[in-house]
Amino acid sequence: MLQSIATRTIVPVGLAVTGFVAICCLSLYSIMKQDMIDDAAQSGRNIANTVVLSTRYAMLHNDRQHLGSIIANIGQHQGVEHLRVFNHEGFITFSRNQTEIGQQVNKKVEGCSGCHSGEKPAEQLAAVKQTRRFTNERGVQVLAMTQPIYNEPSCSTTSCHYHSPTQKVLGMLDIGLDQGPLQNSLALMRYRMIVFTLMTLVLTVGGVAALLNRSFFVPLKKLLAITSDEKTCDFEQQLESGYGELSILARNYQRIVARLNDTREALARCRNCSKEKDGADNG
Amino acid sequence: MSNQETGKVLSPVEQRTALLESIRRLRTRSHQGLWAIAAFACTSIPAMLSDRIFPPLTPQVKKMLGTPPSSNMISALLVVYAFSAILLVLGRITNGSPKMVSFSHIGYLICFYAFYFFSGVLPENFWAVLATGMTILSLESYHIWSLSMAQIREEEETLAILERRIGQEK
Repeated sequence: MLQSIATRTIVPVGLAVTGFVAICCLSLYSIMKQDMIDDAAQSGRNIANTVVLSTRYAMLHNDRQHLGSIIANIGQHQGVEHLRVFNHEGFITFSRNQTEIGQQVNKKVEGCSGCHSGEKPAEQLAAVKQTRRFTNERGVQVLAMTQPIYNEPSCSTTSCHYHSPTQKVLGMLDIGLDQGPLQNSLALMRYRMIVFTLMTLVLTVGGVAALLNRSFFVPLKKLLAITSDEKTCDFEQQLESGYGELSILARNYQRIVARLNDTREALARCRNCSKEKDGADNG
Repeated sequence: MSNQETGKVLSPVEQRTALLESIRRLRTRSHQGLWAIAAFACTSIPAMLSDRIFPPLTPQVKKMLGTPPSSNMISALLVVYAFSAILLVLGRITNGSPKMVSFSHIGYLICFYAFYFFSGVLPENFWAVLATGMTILSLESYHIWSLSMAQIREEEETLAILERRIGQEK
């Protein structure tokens, strides 16, 4: 069975088409997934920037109650896993979770190491390094953005409190967004691509196999049956004329066998005649 | 039948021995594709566990290597490579060429694993490289197996004729 024409025809084509379609779908899925994650990260950075701009007035006037209220309200928004503000020393000064306030973060963790990996902290942070993905203690996949709060001229001149003009970064805003909706979208996209791939494979490989079977393998089996015994060419058992070259091949073969049978009969008749003639001569 | 190296005419018994040896070599060759698939599977295991086995690249190493190509570019190259390799294998199947390049493909696929690893996107693209390798190596394996089986059948027919002749001489 493994050496049959059907196997040698369908197996390489099926393998090649199936494999290539699978490769393209897997590559396309990973590209689209990365694009969706990049879009989600950009959306998160926009939200972080919005929060920083929203809290600017409260920070300028050192209105800590107002600032805390803004952080708490935004932090209650659906999809926000964590929202906190660090000061220059790394202490959490405002947070959605009140129990975190006063804690100091580790500068070596991801999200902080982007600036603090060298001897001197970096003053600018690339957009890519502002983003990190992890699973929090509740098992929720989080997309977190870290937005620096840069010093401005007005920050060092107000009367309530001031920052030194030489201090570049006053603190950091850290916001974490639930990736659940993104993961659901990715899962849906994955499911749709699998269904599309399977349908494509069934149509291509199945269609080619079915057409080949109908046009070639079925008449080939009939031809094998007709030509299995060359001595008795049963003219009743003929291959239908709708199979193109195979039908012509079957007719040619039957003509050859018919001529062979005629020749054998003629030879047999000649032998009988010569025997009768020999018998008559001897008698 | 004569010995190709010395030109000496071989006796029927020597011919029989030579045919049996040829059949044995062809059977060994027919399994070479499976060895290539097994070797590729072994290289894929550390790739699959790369985030656990290999330490993250230090900034010094990243600086030395330079900016990696984007993952989209590597994926596009992977699709082009898969397409070309599959076409070449199908061409060899069509022509009946005995050439086998399975182990070269393993080298190329390891390079793709490395590129994705240095770009930091190997976990997302591991299955695409694995599917590429399995497709190409399976086609190569099938081609070599099919060709070897056809040659073995020819040798066995020749061997049957030879053994009938040896039997008649006795």
